[in-house]
Amino acid sequence: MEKQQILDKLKKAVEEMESDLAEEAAKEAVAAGLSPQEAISDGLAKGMQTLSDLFDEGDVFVPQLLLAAEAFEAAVSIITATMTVEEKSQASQGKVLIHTVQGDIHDIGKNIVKTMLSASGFEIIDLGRDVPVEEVVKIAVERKVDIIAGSALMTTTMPSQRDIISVLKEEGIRDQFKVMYGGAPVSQEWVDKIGADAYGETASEAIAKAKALMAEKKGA
Amino acid sequence: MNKSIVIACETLSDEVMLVANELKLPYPIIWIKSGLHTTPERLRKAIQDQINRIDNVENIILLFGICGNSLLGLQAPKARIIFPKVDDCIALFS
Repeated sequence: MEKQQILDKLKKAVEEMESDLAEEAAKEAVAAGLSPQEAISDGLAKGMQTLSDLFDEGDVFVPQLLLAAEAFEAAVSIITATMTVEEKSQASQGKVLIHTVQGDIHDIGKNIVKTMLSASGFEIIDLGRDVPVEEVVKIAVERKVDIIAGSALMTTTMPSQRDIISVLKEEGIRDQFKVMYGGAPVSQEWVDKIGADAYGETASEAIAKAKALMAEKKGA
Repeated sequence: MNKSIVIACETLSDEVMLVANELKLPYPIIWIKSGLHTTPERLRKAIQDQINRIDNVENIILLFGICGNSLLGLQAPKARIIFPKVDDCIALFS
């Protein structure tokens, strides 16, 4: 199978939300010797972009994003199985630590953002949900991440977002990271008030903000 | 055999049709378009409008979750309303 055919198949598998087809195409990509970056950014990611655009237009909904993300992740785990840690780092647009904040267990939106960030070429460290503030900072430092991203779905857990900033300041390391937040009750106003760097209302916006933050980091 | 009709959300159309075909479901299905859940009042009204147009059935089966409380306040004086005990479709997909 020709390279372009495989790339088209990867794209189609995500667009049609078919995990089996995505895995099949991923195996073909590996067998054909396609570079993982190419298979992801020119194949799978294009499929995610289609779904993301349709979502923004109100033509598909969260369930479809979840199914497309499943297909995407199924293919990615096959494609990246042989990549070394160094290769993964080098290829990436930036390293993002993502999580649902301490006290909160809503993670569906966070998972969609994670998949789309990954589709856009970011290296993701997903700490899951209800992650203690101290652990977020600890791992951010250990893994030398570029961006700390956190989602809060309840007004009662939003303070964790502020606490992360406080801890970073206390330890004198606030400037080492870009911090971005999202979640239903979160707003630009809140993010500005607590001194974070960016807010994303939707997953697509989150991707755009993440790219902008990386540009700031590199330019600074 | 109970006379039943199904009112279902279009987001679930692939899954509902898979089951309907497998079970050779004898009930008609009315689709409600996706996305109305973002304004629960509108979804409630859309479902109620359909219920109001239906007669001569014993059961109205709603293939919806509570969907932001959209199902609250639905009335069907001449039929039994049946719906699954689930918050919304996200639970099915995630």
